[in-house]
Amino acid sequence: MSIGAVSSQTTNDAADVILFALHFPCGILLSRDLSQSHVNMAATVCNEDFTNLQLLLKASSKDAVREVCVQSQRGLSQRLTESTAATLGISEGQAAQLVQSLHALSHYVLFYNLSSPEQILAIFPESFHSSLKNLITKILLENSATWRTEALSNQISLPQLKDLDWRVDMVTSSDSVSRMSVPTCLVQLKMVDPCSSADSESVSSVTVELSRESLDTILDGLGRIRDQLSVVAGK
Amino acid sequence: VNTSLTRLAVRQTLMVNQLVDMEWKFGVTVGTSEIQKLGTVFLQLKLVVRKGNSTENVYMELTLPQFYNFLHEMERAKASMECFS
Repeated sequence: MSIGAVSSQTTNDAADVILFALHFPCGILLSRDLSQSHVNMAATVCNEDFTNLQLLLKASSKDAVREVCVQSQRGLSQRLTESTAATLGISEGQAAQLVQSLHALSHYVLFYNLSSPEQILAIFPESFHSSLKNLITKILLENSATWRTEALSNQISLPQLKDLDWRVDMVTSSDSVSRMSVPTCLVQLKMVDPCSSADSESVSSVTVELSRESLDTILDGLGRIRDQLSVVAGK
Repeated sequence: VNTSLTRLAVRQTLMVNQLVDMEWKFGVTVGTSEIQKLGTVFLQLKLVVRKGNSTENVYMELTLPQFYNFLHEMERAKASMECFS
């Protein structure tokens, strides 16, 4: 994306913020390299996927279809393959392919933020079973808000500040000065590194000591961030 | 003369994990591998901590509520420090 192209956009909210950042360099930086392409799973759904999706016609109820769709969004697992094969009466190989195709479809809908029935129905080929198409579309729409929230909270990040505690001490004596009265501040920051599995979250903590001058400088910096944040938020 | 010597001596007083610098940046997350278009604000801090003779960098990310909480707590700590002056 060139600067020229960005400066011509006026409608998208995110682009407005980017526009601001490029023309007023007061400490606001873009987080993401805009030239990075999707190197992970290509967000596409192919004909083979739709063929696999028709295996859902073997489901005994709409709820069974719903269950498979929702579980598949999380990804492939042996347990899911086995239960899907049992529920639909298909082989494990077919079940695995079905789960993968459902995952590709839900990933596609989530990535491009398809939020209307028309947008989702348009992905399906003409020949696809009509009622199944409507049911799958309905299920995808029902869940997309939840999936989006989950994706946002699971996105990669530096260790996140989860907890902050502080203590102010009055230093009355030291090996270099026998009597004094100097305040000092200890701050403990607890950070959580977002890992893929929710059970094993790695928590790290650091305790730092700040003199009064340091604390003033920190507050100065935080104040500047707050001011710039309110400018960005106002846009 | 007395005051500046005292000041020097006070500065010699040991500090544990002294915070020597703070750097920051914030911006907008425009997209992720899961969601093509986003517009959420992120804030990243780098704290430079003196450990013995060398320094260690601590990196972290804050959401906006966490940032405002951080600011609020530091203001409270400052108020506490000023009680003693």
